[in-house]
Amino acid sequence: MNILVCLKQILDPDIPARDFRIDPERREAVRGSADLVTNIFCENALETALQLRSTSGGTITVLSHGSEDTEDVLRKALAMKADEAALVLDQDAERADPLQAARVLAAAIRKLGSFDVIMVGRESGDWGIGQTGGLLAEELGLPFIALVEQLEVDERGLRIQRQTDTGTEIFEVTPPVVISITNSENNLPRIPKTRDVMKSYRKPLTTLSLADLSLEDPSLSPAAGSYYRLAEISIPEKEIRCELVEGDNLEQRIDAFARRVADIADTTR
Amino acid sequence: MAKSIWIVMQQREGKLHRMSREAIAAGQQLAAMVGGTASAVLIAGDDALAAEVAAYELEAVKVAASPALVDYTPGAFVGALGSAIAAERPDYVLFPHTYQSVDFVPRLSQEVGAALVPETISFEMVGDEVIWKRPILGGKLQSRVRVKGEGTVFATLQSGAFPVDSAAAATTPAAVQAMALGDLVADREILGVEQAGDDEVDLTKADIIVGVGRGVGGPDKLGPLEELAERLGADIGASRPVIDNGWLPRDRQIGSSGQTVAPKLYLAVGISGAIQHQVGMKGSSCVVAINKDKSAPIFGISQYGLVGDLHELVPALNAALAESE
Ligand SMILES: Cc1cc2nc3c(=O)[nH]c(=O)nc-3n(C[C@H](O)[C@H](O)[C@H](O)COP(=O)(O)OP(=O)(O)OC[C@H]3O[C@@H](n4cnc5c(N)ncnc54)[C@H](O)[C@@H]3O)c2cc1C
Repeated sequence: MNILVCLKQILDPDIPARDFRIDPERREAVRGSADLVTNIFCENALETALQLRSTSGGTITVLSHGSEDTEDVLRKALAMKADEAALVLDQDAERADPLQAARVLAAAIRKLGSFDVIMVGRESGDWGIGQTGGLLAEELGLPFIALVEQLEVDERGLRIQRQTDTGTEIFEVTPPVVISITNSENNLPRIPKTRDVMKSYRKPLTTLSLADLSLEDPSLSPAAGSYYRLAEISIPEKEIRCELVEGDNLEQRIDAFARRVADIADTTR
Repeated sequence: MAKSIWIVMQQREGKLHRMSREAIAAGQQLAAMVGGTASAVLIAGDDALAAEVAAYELEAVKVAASPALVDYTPGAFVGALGSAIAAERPDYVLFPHTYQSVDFVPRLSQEVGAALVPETISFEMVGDEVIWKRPILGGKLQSRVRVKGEGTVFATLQSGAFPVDSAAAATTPAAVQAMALGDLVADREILGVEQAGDDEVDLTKADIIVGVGRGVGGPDKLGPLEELAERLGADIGASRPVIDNGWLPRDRQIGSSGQTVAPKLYLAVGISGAIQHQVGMKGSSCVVAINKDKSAPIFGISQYGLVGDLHELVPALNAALAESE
């Protein structure tokens, strides 16, 4: 299997809300001291790919659309033992909407070779739109399967286990396909060894420009956006209406709390 | 000109998904706001289900009936909806944001050339434009987006954003119409299904859930929480880090990438209340929380809270509950 995994770099979603600032003019989150990280579901996808390669062989290529900073994401993936890495360098990548991102990724994938399985994360931790995979599949003219938690090679192609609204379902597909990966207890991303992180910086990394992909036309550029225009971003207001149960000592507080919990629980019987 | 709004229902084995009713509420609201009519689109489903949908205040219930649509496949669903949308060009099409819609709606939007605004929580009219609101960066930010250009607009609706009880009932039932369908290709053959909770519990049906978060600290610390759940007759759910760390199995995950639950009582223990978690449980009738940080966002949606170390509080709570039994 030749596998390609798309990786997105995002602002660390774990930064506490109180450390968060926005630039209303540019309609952007201000990075400040926040870290840039690989989107967690993309790492779940890479982990899934690494496991698939270890059982069925093949190669893994990782691909990102981002700025110079995004090299870190690809180096980490190489340290996790991806075989090849490519970056589509674009200062406006951060502002790309899913259709723009899908177009850029599709053009890059066509240039990089032919792949049996193209994996994306189910959604990103920043905009959380969750459409890039589906749109990428359409751009490439391939079937799309969302929310896959496990896959293995079998005689007919790939055996897929996908989450549904009520559980999971299993079916077989014939590659090539585009799939989005969700987290499961089986695809917790491995931590690369320090030695491999160091070595990853000596591995080759292909850099592509939008011009290389014939996407330099400004109307096709991510900065132009395809169908959204952001009107405004704001920090939502929080209302606290919670009664924090008080008491003179632990025992009183616990008793008061236990009574409330038991009362509500009783109404369910 | 009056706008037309379609609301796509999700159902399984003749039962509407809860979020289908939320979508009806949203569709009615949008129709009133933009000046137009809302119709429901029912994919498969029998007469009884069509009648159930027709009991809501709607222009029509369009039924797409075909053996190829009985079990969900993206090919058949995109085929059925795509040709109807291309032929009738509704202005807006609303979908519940579910695992099913995530699978086929992006493809459908591309095939009919519609813009797609995912996981919206509300909309408003500014001038003659609809502005859609959706949370970003895990709810730390709120974004308001407008759609460029003309043409059909798709939106998917976040779970819990549009309360079911705001959906208006009809005085006379809506007309039920059969939708014209071309050839449909079911493009997946399902070899097996597993219902969440087959083995143990179905969290979506639980009356009481004890939600366990990263604050619990490790799988060896779950004992008192299991005891608490047992005393309350509750099932155990969890936040994502608990699953990612392998402390509990994946079918326990509650949130935007897990299950959506609406128990009568949700007791969150050691859960900070990130938006992705809230999405999965804020429909609960009553939320109470135990957390050592009194500024934790979970208290923002809780009715009662207890601030302190859960390792001390949960055993004490168990003892108090045991005494009152
Ligand atoms: C795209 C995306 C999708 C996601 N989907 C989901 C999802 O479906 N479900 C989900 O849950 N999360 C999801 N997340 C993760 C989510 O953003 C949060 O990271 C997660 O919910 C946090 O889990 P937590 O509250 O258990 O942990 P934390 O945020 O680490 O909170 C732990 C809490 O425990 C408290 N605590 C610690 N020790 C103690 C103690 N001794 N006594 C009492 N309190 C204590 C702390 O004060 C803190 O509030 C998603 C994230 C992304 C980016």
